[in-house]
Amino acid sequence: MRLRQLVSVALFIVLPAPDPLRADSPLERLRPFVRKHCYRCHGVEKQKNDLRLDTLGTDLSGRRTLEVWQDVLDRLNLGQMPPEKEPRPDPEELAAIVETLTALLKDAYALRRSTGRQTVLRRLNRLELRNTLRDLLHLEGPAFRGGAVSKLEDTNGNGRTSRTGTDPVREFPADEEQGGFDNIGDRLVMSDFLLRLVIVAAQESLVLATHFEEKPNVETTRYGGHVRTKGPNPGLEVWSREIHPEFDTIFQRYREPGASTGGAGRVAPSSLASRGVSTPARYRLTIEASAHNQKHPWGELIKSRQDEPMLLGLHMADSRRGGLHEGNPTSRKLTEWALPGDGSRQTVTFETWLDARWTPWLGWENGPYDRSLRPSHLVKRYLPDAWRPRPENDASNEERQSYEPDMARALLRAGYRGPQLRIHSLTIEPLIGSWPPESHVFLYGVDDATAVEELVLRFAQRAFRCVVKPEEVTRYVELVRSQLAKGISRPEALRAGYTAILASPRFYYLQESSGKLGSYELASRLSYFLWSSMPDDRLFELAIADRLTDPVVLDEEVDRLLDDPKAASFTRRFTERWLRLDRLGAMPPERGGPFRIYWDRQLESQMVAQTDAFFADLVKTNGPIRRLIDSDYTFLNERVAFLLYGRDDVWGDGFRKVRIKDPRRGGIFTQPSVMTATANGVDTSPVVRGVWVLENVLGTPPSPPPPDVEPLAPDLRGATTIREQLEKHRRVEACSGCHRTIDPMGFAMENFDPIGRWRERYPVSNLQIDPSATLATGERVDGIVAFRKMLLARQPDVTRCLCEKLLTYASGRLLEPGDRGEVDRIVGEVERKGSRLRDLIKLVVRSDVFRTK
Amino acid sequence: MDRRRFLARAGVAIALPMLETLAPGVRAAETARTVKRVVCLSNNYGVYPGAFFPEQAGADYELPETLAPLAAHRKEFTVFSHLDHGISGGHACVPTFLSGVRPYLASHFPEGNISMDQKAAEHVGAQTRYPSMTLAVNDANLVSFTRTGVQVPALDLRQAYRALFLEETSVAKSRRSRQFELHGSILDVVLDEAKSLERRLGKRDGRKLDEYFDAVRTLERKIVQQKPWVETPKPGTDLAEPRPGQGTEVDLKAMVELIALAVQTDSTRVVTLTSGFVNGDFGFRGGYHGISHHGEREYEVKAKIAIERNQIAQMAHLLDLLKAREDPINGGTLLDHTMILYGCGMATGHHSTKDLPLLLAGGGFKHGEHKVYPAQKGRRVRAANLLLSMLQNFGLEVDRFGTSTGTLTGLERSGA
Repeated sequence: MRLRQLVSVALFIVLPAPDPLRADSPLERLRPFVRKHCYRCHGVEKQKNDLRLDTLGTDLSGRRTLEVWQDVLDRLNLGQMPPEKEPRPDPEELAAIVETLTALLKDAYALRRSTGRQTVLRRLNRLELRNTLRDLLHLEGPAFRGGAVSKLEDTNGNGRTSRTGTDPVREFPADEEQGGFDNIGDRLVMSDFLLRLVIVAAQESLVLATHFEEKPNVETTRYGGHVRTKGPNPGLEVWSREIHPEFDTIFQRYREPGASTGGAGRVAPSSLASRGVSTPARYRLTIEASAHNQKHPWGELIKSRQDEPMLLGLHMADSRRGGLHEGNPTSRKLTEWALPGDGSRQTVTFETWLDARWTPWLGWENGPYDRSLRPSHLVKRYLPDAWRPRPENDASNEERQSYEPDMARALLRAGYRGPQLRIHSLTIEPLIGSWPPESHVFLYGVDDATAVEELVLRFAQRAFRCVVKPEEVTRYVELVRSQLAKGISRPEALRAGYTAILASPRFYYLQESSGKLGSYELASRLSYFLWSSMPDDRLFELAIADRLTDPVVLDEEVDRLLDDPKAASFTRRFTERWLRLDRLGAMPPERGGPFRIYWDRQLESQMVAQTDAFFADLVKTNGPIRRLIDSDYTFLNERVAFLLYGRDDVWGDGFRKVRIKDPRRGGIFTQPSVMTATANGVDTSPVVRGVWVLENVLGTPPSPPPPDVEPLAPDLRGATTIREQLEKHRRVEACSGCHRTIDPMGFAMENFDPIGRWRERYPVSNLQIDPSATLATGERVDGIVAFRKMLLARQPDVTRCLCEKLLTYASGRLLEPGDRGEVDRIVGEVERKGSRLRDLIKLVVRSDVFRTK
Repeated sequence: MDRRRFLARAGVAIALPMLETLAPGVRAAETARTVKRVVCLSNNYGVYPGAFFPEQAGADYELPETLAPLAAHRKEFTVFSHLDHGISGGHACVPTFLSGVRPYLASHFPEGNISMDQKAAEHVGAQTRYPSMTLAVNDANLVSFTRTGVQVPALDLRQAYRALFLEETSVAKSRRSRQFELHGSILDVVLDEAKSLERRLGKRDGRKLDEYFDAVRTLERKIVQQKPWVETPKPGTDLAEPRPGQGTEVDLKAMVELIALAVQTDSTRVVTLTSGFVNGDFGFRGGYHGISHHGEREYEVKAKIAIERNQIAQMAHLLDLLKAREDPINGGTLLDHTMILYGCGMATGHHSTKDLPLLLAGGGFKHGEHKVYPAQKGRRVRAANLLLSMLQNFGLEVDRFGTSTGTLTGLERSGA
């Protein structure tokens, strides 16, 4: 050791000090420039500001060296150096130097982040943890529903999330993210804080799965005649009950959030609507209903869809959050049935889990809706003999208040010939099969006879997602035994052991060894990619038989997993990450402000559901990737169609494929979810949207702005437009490099307001929006339609970007320059096969990136 | 020194009208050293700079509109100009207020993006019931981060009151004690598992697993620290549980009064609070974010100034309270030993992060000036220097914090 030190010291003395800008370094190209412009003040003689550049190294892997070069670049960019009194560098030379240095630094940063193309030991993020607990412990309920977003519920928009309920991760902080992804092993951090939350979540979930109580004695209940006995506010629904004792009638579509209160158009047993079911369980719901007068003679006043069958929708909602009222944020649709509109009585059934306090309710999905249409109008037009004029304002209160009810009675007695749905009965039948349920038996066995060792081993096997030997679980068995020895009950002692298993790194981190992944490792990668959860029995079996390394089996499994309802987690979470929809709600529009419908009509969840439906459909049908750029259809429900697309021809709450004739509206990239996530709830910025396009659509992220760049402060009094400001901005040399590329992309989207509606003019200033721009390539784009054409011409770039995002999401690591070959190979292959989405997913799964640690 | 000790002991005996007992953190051993506290007040949208920064430097500056409520305390606070963290990123910089480090760059720093309050909380450890309290009034608190980059969740008004004063039932207490014991046993087992796992891992995975080891050991330590507090009674109070939702002026005032009590009862020595705006506050409509994008429109500018002026007014209220109460541990007033920092990691509503609004009061510093630091590039001073000075004053022996280059020149301790 000492000898070596001596030698190196000697060498140092003998050799002349090497020029740190060694000839073999790419930084060498900068030397003449730096020498000419910088050495005088930052060289041998003077070291202003303690900075000496002639001895500055070129090994950018050192943090200090990297920082100094970054500083040099920043100052060149900002034009601060060389100082004013010194000769100015030639602009072209300066531009070349800045470009070279920018590229070198970018590589150096990438290298610093590099994990050697390995996925680093990856912990579960909070959504994966919740899904895994659900599948491991056989838990059901709304908190565990598929397709849940990783963002926690924040219904009042004040940044605070709901901390009640059974969601085991409700207290978890947001997971760390890198490049937009919240499942990057290297980035996800562990802390004592998180570990405590994991332990508590495990304890809670284990209790949820435990059922020592008697088999709940829930009777099947049939609600017949009047299913709904209270409410809504006086209207045809209520007056019809007076006349028809044997059924409830729905005359109109249920109103949507924010429209009103009272739950008109929603039918549920009133006791359930206020209290919900008492026992959480799976239920079979049987409904007797009939649809009448699909074709009817009153079309002039009652605008209904006479051309399509009448749709009866089944929904569920938490009774504690507003019951049948329109504002209930928990309400969600379960299914719908098309009923023949000929009045024949139909019986339909549906099975679903209902948590305690939740209620089902029925509504007419495509019913007519006209707030101003009153019974008196119908009587006047169709039963003129029964009509009398509305009492004058000076008539008595009683007289005035009885007018519409009287007209309604006349109308109903004479025979209402408009369209209507009748609900004859609703039967709620608990489906409690074997008792105790599977979740309980898994934890405790059928009785106390099952040995602790066996139970713990079985549990660990599934929790660790691989075959486990008995000696590997000794420590957990011992924990159970020590608890028992302390006099703690058997169930509680077992739960202590299980909790330890769930807090152990073998559960909380995905176990992968270097090189080609083994069968169990592949099974987990696959299920966490497409389900955000643990492998199921079938995947386990394939892993045990070592068949997952067979590409054909792998393809089959991708199909099977994608066709499973659990794949909702993939479509929801991947789009959330790729399109950065996680930013929704971070800077939402304000309540009561110009975009108040965002809250009043609960649009955030609707926007996400639209994007979700669009992407899920492409996955399901193996649709062409170019549909993401442009399509002659989209998915809409009534709310999104009416409020964001200005269309009144889509009826009902369910999303369905709708043809669009407006070429400005196709594809996924300008959907309201994206336009909202790339705005800030107040105004829009072409820069933000431009950067978003470069990062997430074209896969060419721009360099971050130099530090110290002051953001644009628009003068909303109308003095300057954002376009004028950006033009000025682009004239600054340091800015023009990137903003030439960024701004035009964003300008094309300026016609979309902060919640994704089309607009022609800016608010406040009322200036006409000019969406035209010249791309860095010189190509002229005059708006969103031309912009889409431009993207279609660059489809390979879009496919490559999507492929990279999928690979990142699937493997839990960021891609590195060395992965480029594999990406190009996949993109080439998927193009040969016709550039379809599910094909791309399969190629991703078959890739080296996915199958290697 | 003797006098201080005397007061410290006497402090326990002084009858406090509202408080029945003092927290047991006051022990003879630690009264030998001065106990410091730190309270950080912040918002998420910066300030309207024209009404915040004084025009003149030095002691004889004219109080700007936003700072006017502090008029009675001119000698007890300092306002700083041209300090910032030297970073940009708009809203993304709000969480950097107390660290100077953007979360995604945390791995470049030896202590990650730990915030100053959490660094101070580590120092306090188990000496108080709560090593720190992170609070929020009508907005999310985004500024407290642990060493591992986890954001500390905030308590609202009601939760804060209960944490401070609501005594748990004996059943709940014994359940909590049992939980601590169980968690301890579980941690032993998983630590054992992690050790056997470690042998099979490569270098990078091993480093990742180190975080897990660290988490287990820290949690073990915290359990040991927290255990005795379960059976220790909380201080009593005559103060009724506050009813939140009465507008930011009322809610924030109630929270500030809780903070004063928390300090006085030594329930915690580290507090962070973010406050916001609800529609209708001070007669203004809209939301904080929209108002902060004022674009120089008169209505929004007025609203923004009103919001910030209230934040300053409540800071002044806190100064009043702390100044009026004797410090039962150190002697003197509570304000003498409590630093109060006001600021935000984003300077203005339009996303500028240059020239952060920063005010420091109390805590034993020499105050009374508007300190103006160099505005020129290259000579600018990092705001982290202020954070470092505060940590040192808090009692930490550190010479670097986040992006600091040293302590803040010109900021001196008084007397000492």
